[in-house]
Amino acid sequence: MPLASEAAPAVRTEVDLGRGLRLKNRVLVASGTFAYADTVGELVDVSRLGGVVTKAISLEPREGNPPPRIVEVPGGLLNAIGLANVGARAFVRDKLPRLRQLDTAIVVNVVGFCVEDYVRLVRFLDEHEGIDAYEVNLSCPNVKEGGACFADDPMMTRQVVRALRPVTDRHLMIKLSPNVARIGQIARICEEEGADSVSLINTLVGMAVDVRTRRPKLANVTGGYSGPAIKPVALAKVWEAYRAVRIPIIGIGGIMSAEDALEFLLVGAQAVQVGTGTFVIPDLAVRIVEGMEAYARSEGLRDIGELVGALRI
Amino acid sequence: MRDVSARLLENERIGPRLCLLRLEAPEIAARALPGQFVAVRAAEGFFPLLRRPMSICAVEDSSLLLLVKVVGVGTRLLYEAEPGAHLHLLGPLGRPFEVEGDFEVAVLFGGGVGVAPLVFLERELRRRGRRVCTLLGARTASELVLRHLEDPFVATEDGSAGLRGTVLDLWRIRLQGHIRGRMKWFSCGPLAMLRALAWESQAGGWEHEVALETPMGCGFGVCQGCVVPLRGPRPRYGLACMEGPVFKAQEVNWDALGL
Repeated sequence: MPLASEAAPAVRTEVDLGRGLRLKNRVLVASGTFAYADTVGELVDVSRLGGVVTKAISLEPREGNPPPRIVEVPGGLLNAIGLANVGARAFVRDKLPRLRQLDTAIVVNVVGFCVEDYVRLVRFLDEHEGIDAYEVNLSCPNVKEGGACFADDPMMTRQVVRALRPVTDRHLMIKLSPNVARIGQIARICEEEGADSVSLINTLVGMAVDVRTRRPKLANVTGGYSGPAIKPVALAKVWEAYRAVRIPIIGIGGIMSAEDALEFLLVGAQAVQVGTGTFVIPDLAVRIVEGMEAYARSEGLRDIGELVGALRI
Repeated sequence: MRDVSARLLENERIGPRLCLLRLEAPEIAARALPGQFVAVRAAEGFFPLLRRPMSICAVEDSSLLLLVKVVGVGTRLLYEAEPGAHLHLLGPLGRPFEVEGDFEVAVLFGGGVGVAPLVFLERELRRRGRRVCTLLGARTASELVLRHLEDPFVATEDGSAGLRGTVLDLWRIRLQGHIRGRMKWFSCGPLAMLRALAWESQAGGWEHEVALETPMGCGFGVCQGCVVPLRGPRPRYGLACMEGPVFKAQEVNWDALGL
């Protein structure tokens, strides 16, 4: 290390997002892109991460969608994994004990198919130690409302957050979908109902077709679009949400570099999640942590948080 | 599993759409087993985005051989790569072939670029003193990759080399009934070929492992994109990158595989 950087005062990287969710830095790995932190082996020093968001957990185990589940498209990929997961009981028995040994914040992504599912799931998980926050995944069909997606509907989003708030004292982060007319309005609903933060964006609904076979390239027909192509959309949505709410925003969408992450901070995100990029570079999130610190030092910042919402217009 | 930057030592273009890369990757070469694969980044940036899963065709000292067929943008870049270039390799990944066990003759079936892992496997089996019989199929003679195999039996769909027909025809016409001793089958190639071989080995009661190719997002178990439907008391999906790419043929639910 050059002497100059050793002599420079340390940059503050920690952030307290409220209600017990304290991060050592502002970079987490996104749900569905890191499994249960159990397959990366020595490839990633997890203790360098601000946090790990687990694969979505449902009350019962789910096998997920038939293959093909994934297809590469320009600028990203489409996935239709179908919320495959081990289920809540196996999660606390087989995955959580190892997760809570990790020196990083553990955010459990929770998913349900009716309001009551979410309530039962969070009640169950709340009896177990080692969870710093819940990220509420609303991008699934509400089977009691004709299969409409929770996240797409302001009223259904309100119902879930309203039902969950009295159930837990842990941090509630609501993950928002970009497939809506006004994401700011939905963020405000989450804030009104007592959410501690919102994370955005989830994937964009997308599709790809094989013209030779005339079949969709995903067995599920449609899937979620992620990767570098969605970053401009994500930045605009975070900016919209930032002007709508006071609670912290966690920015997600196509982050492939420290510079990408810094863009999200400038438009108002307190922290970011790295998702699809991890598939390509397993330790990308750690490299982003290092790159953000280098940037902060070069800019003479004392706290990376000085960048949040510092967009000049 | 390591993420390394490997120098391209040699790129032998076997045909207009097929090449054999030799990459210097000592950390991976030291650990690799037949049937395992590496995930290759075709470019430094993020276009194309995902790594390409490639069977390890052979390990020679500290280098790996990878057989690449051009199917899209990423494989085209690999085909055009020149010696001296550096490629990011993640590996070795996945479950290898089981070369131990109670069998006297290993029968290897390769179709098209599916021959790749069989080169490594054949060498390992021979090193262990096993008797090996290799059958190779392709659409046409120019798509056959023979040089690294020892005296394979050959079939082509157009009859331009060896028997006119499939590897299964080759098996039935030339070899069935001529092999003495307990067999174990190993196969890699197009899905239709593997499915036909799986039925044949099941009917014959022979142990049979297949190396499957599936669309893959990450290669190390985080995206859960590469599932293979498996049979059993409880039907389920197995990840090709972690539980595979080598599966027992009788364990795969062939009817549910593919569109």
